[in-house]
This record gives sequence, C-alpha cells and structure tokens, in this order.
Amino acid sequence: MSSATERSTPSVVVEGLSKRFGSRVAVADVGFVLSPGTVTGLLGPNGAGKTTTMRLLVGLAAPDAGRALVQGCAYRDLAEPMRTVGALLDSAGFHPRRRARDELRILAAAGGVPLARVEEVLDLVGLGDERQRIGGFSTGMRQRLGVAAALLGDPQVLFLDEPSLGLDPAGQVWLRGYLHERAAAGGTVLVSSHVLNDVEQVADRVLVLDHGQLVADAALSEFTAAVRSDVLVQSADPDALALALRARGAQVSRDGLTLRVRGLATAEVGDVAAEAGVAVHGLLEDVSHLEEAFLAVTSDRSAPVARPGDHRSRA
Amino acid sequence: MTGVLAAEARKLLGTSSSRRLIAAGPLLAAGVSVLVLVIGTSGKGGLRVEGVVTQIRSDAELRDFATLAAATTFLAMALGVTEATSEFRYATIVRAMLARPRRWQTVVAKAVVITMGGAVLTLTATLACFVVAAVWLVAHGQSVPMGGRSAAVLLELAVTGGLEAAAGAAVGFLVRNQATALVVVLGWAFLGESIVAGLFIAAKPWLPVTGAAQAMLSGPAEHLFTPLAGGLLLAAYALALTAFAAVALQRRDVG
Repeated sequence: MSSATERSTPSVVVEGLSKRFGSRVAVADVGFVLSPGTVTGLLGPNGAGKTTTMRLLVGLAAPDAGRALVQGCAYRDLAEPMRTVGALLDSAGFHPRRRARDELRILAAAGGVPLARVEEVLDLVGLGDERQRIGGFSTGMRQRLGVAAALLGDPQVLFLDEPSLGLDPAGQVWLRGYLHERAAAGGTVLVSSHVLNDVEQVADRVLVLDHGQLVADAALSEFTAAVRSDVLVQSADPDALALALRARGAQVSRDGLTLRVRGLATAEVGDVAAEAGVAVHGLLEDVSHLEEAFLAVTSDRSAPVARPGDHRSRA
Repeated sequence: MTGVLAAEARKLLGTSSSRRLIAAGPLLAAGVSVLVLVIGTSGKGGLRVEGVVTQIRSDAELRDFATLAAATTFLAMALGVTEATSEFRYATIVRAMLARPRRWQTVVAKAVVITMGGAVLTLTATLACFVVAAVWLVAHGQSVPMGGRSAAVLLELAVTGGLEAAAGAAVGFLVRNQATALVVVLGWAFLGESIVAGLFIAAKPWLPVTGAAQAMLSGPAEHLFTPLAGGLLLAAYALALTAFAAVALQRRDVG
C-alpha cells in the first residue's frame, strides 16, 4: 500500500456511539473518523463526554449503541492492542509501592512488548534515572510515566486524555513537539484537553463535544476562521480614538485606557489612530480564536475555561 | 497467556506489601508454635492446648502439631483479596485491561499466580512449624518422628492455602473494594460458615472452609470426605468463583 493510500485510510472509525450512566446521557450518537498523519483535539466543557468517549474507544466501557473501530477492529479484537494503540487515561493509575521501571515491565510483559523498550520510553520521558517508588512521584512525574506507558508499545494510534496535566512548561513543549513528530511519521493522535491553548498549538483538527453530542468536527483553521478577532489598543486619548474608530464602522468597548476593537484589522486600527493624530501606546491582536470558537459552539458558556497564565493575547 | 502470567508474577513479587504478607506466614506459624510449646509444656504431663498436641512422640502427633499452620490459610486468603482489590484501589486495572482486553486472561493468570503465592505462604508456614518442633524436640533430647503422615500435611496445607488464596482473589475481583472484600471473605470464614453450619447441619461438609478445607487436614475420621475429595471440593469452589469473577469483569465497565 502506498504512503498516500495509508494516510487516506481512516485508522479510527466511530459510528453512532452512545453511552448512558443511569438516566444521564454521557455520549449520544457520536461519530467521527481519524486519519493517519493528524493530531485531533477533543474538546468540550466538563462532563461533555470526552473521557467517556476515550474509554469507549479502548473498550473500557461498553457502548449502549454504535461502535468504535481501530484499524478495522474493536479494541478487544486487536491482535496486539498495546502495539496498535497507546492510551493515557486520567482514570488509570499506578501502584504507589512499585517503581516506575517495575510498573512498565509488568505492562510490557502483559502486552507482549520487549523489556528493552521500557528503558527507551523511560529515557524518552525523562524518568530514566528515577529510582524512587511511584508513591513519591509528583503529579508531573506520574503524568510522564503515564505518557511512557502509552508509548510503550510504539503504537501508531495515540489516545491521550489531558496529557499535559501537571507537566512543567518544558514537558508541555516536549509533548507538543513529540505529538507533531508522531503525526508527521504517519501516526494518528487524539488529544483531549481543557487547555485550549495547548490544543490550538498541536491539533490539525478539532472535535467538540457538548452534553455528549458532537457539535463540531472540522479542521482547526476552518473552525476558528468564523471567529472574528478583536484588537486591543491602548492610547493616551481613548475617547478620541474610539470616536475615530467608530467613524470607520468598528465596534469599540472601553476598559480604562484600553479599547477592544472588533471589525478592523490590527493595521487598520493603527492607521486610524495615525490619521486621527492620537498616540498609541500598545496594539495587540487577540489570537485566542479557538477559545472564542469553542465558546460559540458549546452551551456551557458559564463554565470556567483553563487559560494558562491568562496570556490570551499577544502582539 | 505466558505474558500475562509473567506480568501477574511480577506484580506479586514486585510489590513490597505482597512480599511482606507472604513472609508473614512462616513468621506467624513459628511464633504460634513457640507459644503453644511454651504454654503446653509449662504444666505437668502432656497438655493439650486448644486441641494441639504438645507431646510430640509420634508421626501423627508431629502432623497434628504442624496443622497449627492452618491458621495461615487465612493470610493466604487475605493475600488473594488484596492482590485483586489493589488493582481497583490504585486503578492499575485500567492499564491491565488496556494491555489485555480479553479480560478473563488477567483473572485466570492472577488466579494461577495467587494460587502459587498462597501455596508458598502456607508451605513455608508449615515448614516453620516443623522446624520449631524439631528444635524443641532436639533441645529436649528427643528424636524427631518425621514420617509419611507428617510430611503429607505439607502438601495438604499448601494446596489449601493456594486454593483459598485463589478464592480470595476471585472475591476481590467481584467486590472490588478492598476493605469490603476482606470483611466479606474473613467474615464468611470466621462467622458466616459457622452460622450456616449451625442452621443447616447437613450442609457443613459441603462448605468451603469448615467442610472442604478441614476435610483435607482431618480426613474421613472427622469429616464426610477424604482429604482428596475435600481438596477437589475446595478446588471446585475456587474454580467456580474465578469463572464468575472473569464473567463479571468482562461484563462490567472498568475505570
């Protein structure tokens, strides 16, 4: 099979997937496909069904309806599940009285993975020299170990639930780079995260769940294209500048000396200020398109959305 | 299947709490043996402390003394319970099921490994009883009357401990909560069976602990079954519980 054909054949197919817990609908008729060579972000407010969807994909929970196929098979029918799919789920744990190396050796033995691979993945995630028991690990170290466990079988498909949770900035940067590399090498990656900034930097495509339903399935660029960006401008004379901007048809709101401008590009705002003879002290484009698009398609607008460092805007 | 057996063996031997529990068997048996010998010989003549012979002059009396190690079969049962329930307590069951989505394999592999772990626990406990008895006899200028009957108790207690550990693991998979599973298993062994046996006397020989397991140690003189039949009945209980646990784990959601 040619490389192009391999990349066009979906590696994950989800059709009509539904799951209820008692009277609560966790996932309702969800369907999507994931193709090799892509990183897909799975987004949604708390309780939207992201983790349940991940659990259904790997057979930890049985669907009430529908099916999820990985490389044409239900997870439980895969000949070598760990070599096909690597999963990091927040519900999975480690025994606190074991060491990282022992825990991965147990998994390697169970999954038919050579023990030599244990050292490789421990080195990969920066735990190669770690000797203490897992009970003494920090949250970030546990997360690194979880990533190592997911990568143990060197799988083509990765399902990662909140993978950057607890990772330090260096770890987050490493993870994003690694996921890009996996996708570039023909891997299929599905990442759920509350940190929209993370997803925005890593995903080619987004799936958005809300109340168990898939409300968006699009390329990241298409998903965010519909959202108009705002321009934040600081001026010594905001009233005069606001007047000039409104005269050019912009919507302007004021917060102290800062104006939020919608309807004009950054350069246009600068030009208007120059024409009006108003000094500009700062000019920023709000680039958090994904966050705006996410809030636009989900009903839970009141839910807090993680904003790392609250650095939503940059020049 | 070899891989999942190796994984389960690594879990048992690679976890300090499991190793400590296995090591507790011979230590407990040795401690109880010393205590019984000290108390049992403090009076004049051959005393019987709770039915345990402390005048060890024959093969049969040495065998009876070694059955003190039977108390450690409850430790074996607890070992099975904790090994299975810790999978849920620490959520390691999720990765186990990801590695082996045919879940019955994990249940069966754990049953096999725990059977061996329980057997080692009770075997070493029984040996500890023999060692204490031998030292005591030699110290008192007596010979050690080791014979076929006393040697047989090694096998009987090892099999009992192994099967009770497997049964404990199966109950652990079914109940999932560690404290609850321990209460269920030990409560049944210490209290539940006595109540059932009191209410339904004819059922007593068929019960797993007071019936089958004791038949293995005492034989038809005191029980309905021969030691072999008692062992087979206990094995049937362990197998049935393991099969039930495998089916339940396959049907339930995990994680």
